[in-house]
Amino acid sequence: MSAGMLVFRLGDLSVRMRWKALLANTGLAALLLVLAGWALTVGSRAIDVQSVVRWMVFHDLGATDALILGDFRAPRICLAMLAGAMLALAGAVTQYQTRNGLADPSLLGVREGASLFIVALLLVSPAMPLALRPVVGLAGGLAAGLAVALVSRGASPLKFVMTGFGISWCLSSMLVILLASADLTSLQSALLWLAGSLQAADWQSVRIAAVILVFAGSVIFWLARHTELDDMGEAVATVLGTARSGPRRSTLMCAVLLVAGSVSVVGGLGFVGLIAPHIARFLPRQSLRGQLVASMMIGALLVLAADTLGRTIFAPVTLPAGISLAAIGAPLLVLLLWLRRDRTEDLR
Amino acid sequence: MRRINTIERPFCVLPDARRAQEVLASKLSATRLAAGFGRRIVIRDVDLAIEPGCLTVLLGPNGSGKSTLLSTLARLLPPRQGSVLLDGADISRRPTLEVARKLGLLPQQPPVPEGLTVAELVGRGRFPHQGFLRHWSRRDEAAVDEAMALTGISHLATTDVEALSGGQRQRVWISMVLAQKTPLLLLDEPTTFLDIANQVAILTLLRRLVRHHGRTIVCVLHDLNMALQYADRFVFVKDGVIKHTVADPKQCTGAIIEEVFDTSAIMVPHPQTGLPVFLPRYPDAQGAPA
Repeated sequence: MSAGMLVFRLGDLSVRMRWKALLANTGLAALLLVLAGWALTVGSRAIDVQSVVRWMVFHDLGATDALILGDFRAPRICLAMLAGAMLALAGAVTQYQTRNGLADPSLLGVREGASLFIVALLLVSPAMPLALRPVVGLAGGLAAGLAVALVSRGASPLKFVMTGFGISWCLSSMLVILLASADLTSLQSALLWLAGSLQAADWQSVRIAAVILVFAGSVIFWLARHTELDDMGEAVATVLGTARSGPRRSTLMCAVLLVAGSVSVVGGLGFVGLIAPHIARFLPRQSLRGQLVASMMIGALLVLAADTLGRTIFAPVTLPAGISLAAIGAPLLVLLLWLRRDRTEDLR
Repeated sequence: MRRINTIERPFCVLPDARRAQEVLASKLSATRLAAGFGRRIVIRDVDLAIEPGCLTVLLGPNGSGKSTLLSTLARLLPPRQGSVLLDGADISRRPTLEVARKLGLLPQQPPVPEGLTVAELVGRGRFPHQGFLRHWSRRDEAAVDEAMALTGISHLATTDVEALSGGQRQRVWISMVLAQKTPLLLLDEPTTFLDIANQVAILTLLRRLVRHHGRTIVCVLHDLNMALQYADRFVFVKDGVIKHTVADPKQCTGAIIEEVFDTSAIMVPHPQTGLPVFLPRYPDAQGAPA
């Protein structure tokens, strides 16, 4: 009965995991660590592994290298992983909840709402402090999310996604109007930011992203066992004891928060929320909680890989992460769909 | 869970001599109940007390409100008037997880989740007994094993649910509500779309659960004759109101059937049990269907 399962029991507590899934997730974590370590060493100024280790363990390295590592690369790498994890978690949980593999949170209008508010601010006062961006972005994202939630109140998950789609198109057309009326210099910085850039990463944005991820992630994981029942239909879920709308609403709000948070710190990164959960489906089958963890790590891997490639391939020119991500993500998505073309029956 | 002795149990006509040692006590009742969808009121003025330790069936024509009644009893539909009482307290005011440990329901044809094995789907029934760090206690494991053994699907435990036939799938769903270990079980047409062997197997199981496991079962059935062979109590619903409540299959007369179903029927006793079986009565005296 518990074939392929690991069960740990201690008093009233019991944890059950599929060992294959545990293995896969551990592998992902290891891969992420290795990639992060490698990303520390590469860049316009190569720093070898020994120096990086010396810096991490003994804090003993030349001032220039320490500055590069501590103030530029490390926060950038952390932020890339955080943003990827946030977008992927939001995407994974939204896709599961709406039973719709296309429900990327950017379809929900949240990304556009946050972008619109931040770009407006960028254009109105280019000199505004960086710290203001997350606040403004959050306000915009939540406003768009609330608008979608209000308009589609009580509607089916499909209508919810469709409403989000409509609102997101409205917002992006407003964004275009805004950009068309901007002067050239601020337009350039706005466009660069919109493409999703980690250029401006610092520890402050890392802290902001981490706080949002920890808070929203905790809520989502706490409610995941309720969310998991969504695939048996509302009647069965209710009879099994999930509250009718509370957990669902809180989970969706947290997904909105994650997207708005990531947009405000790194700009518009596409594809991650859509593609990371799909890649996670190639791993051995696991519970929703396991799927969410795997998606987060895959999202972190994707953004970190895209950003690291973006800043090394054409060095000293750096590509915004959003562009290299699209360059990697789009073919990857097509490849995934092609690989899974006849795996509709057995996704094991 | 409070248990009461069968001797204190209210009277209920059972054709079998054997009875459960004890009945898991949970009382479900409805008073002056009205419910519906949107502006349409589907059931009204329903007063019903579910007899503990019995297999009660709701019978009635299509669209008479049987499923609506069952959904309202299971708190899936909020009542417009009146209330549903579970152990004397309004079901809508009780914590939903607490209710889920007392009352289980299997809706008509729930969507089959993708990529789950039989054991995993049955394990979903343990939800109200689990927690954030209580994934799989020994009791969960025992309940799932027992539920699969009762419906005879233990050998399918690691099979994908999507790969099963309709009859097997129905057993899996029933196992899931059994794993929930609730004293009260509500089932909406558990035998519809099944062949006669599967119908007999499932109804036999339901009767066993009532007799030997102390469960109380309320069930919507469409097959009048099957219901008469297996159930203890019969609630006839028509146009959203309860027309008759009968506590003995032998009291189900042609007159009741005719009134409820608007069709003329002939009653014949089952050759082995003597329980009534209803056959259509044809207007043509020659007896052949026109």
